[in-house]
Amino acid sequence: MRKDNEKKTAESIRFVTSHYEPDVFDASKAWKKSGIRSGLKHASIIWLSAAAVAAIILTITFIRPADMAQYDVDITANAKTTYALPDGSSVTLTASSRLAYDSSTFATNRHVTISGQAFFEVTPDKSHPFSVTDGLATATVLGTSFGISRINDSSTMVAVETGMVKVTCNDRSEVVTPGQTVVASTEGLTVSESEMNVNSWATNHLDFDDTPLPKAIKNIEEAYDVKITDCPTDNSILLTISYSGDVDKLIDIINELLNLNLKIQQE
Amino acid sequence: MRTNEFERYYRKLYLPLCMYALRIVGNPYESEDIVQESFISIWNRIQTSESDPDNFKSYVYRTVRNNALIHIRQKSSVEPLDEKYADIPDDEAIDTSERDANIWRSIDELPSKRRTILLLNKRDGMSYDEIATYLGISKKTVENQLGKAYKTIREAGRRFYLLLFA
Repeated sequence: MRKDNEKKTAESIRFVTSHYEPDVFDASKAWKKSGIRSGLKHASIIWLSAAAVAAIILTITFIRPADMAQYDVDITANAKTTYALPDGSSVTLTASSRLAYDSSTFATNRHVTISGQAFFEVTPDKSHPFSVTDGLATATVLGTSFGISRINDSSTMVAVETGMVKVTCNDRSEVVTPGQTVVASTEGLTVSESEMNVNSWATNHLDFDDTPLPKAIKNIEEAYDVKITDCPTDNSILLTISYSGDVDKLIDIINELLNLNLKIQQE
Repeated sequence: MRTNEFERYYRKLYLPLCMYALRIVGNPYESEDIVQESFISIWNRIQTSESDPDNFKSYVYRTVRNNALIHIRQKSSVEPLDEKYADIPDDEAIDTSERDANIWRSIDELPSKRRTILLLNKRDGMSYDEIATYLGISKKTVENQLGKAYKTIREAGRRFYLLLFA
């Protein structure tokens, strides 16, 4: 009996560790989101969590042109565009962002250089680490995914969505896990909790958990690059929702849930 | 069933059910969605029916199993991750889910550096030497931290049996 139990425990440990992700399966959060207590109409809420998001976000604003001229692939996006990389990974660039790499060595050295803002979904390959640099900091994928953004000329931000990422800057390094953000500057590395929805602009996935409405609307405007009008400025209106999809539907849902009349301003 | 009673069941069964769904679909985010959808549909059904289901716990497990199977068929990844979980959930499947849940929770509660080392080793398959180089720490520290991590999660697995046979 005892031996049998030890065996089952060992099997459970194997299973759980190989599928483990931090910060999922929070019963209290899930209960709140279910809307059962508050009697929300469930039919209108689309339940879709970050399932597909094994992703990296990269935002880098400054790189001298010379740093990128040495690469044979050098792409500058005209509008938000997603490109496939030779290893099956993909990268989404915002308008006027730039990506460069060496296609002849990419199979053995998965290294890209970025300027602007980019979002990566990286194909895992333990023997060939994927790394991204902006000239100041370098982020290397350990598990499945990670993200970087350059916030100004002297500091870079890495926000991790899923997986684990090692960030190196001036010979110092930190391992960042999901929900964490590290800011790298010449002074060193600082780790903190990520802002909610930091990667939404690329994933079109938003999570709000008792978020004051004006803040939520600001997030939505940034994520979808739209302007929303007729929004009450009342911070006591709270929004809890997990949403993936287009912005029109999202605004419809919020209007219905909170009995509002938000509008998307047409350009 | 009143909301309070339903909430008690929800909170108690949530993590084991996520583990159960995880055994079938293999992805934690999809498992979360499946469990959430199952609870919501059960709640809606309770609202419109005269009596509550007989054995609520096994009823919820069956619902999650059905939704998980529908989910993997839609994804056309035909086969469930773990064949035996495609059957009607029995006591053993429920025990396994509860044991998995204890272990998952114990990993949640590990200090973050120790957890990182455990995952690099167990999930990402890195050797002690690789982890030491990667994190810039000594191999001794890696061994030490891993030893402590295993002790904690093994005890979480054993605690399950103590509860079961107490």
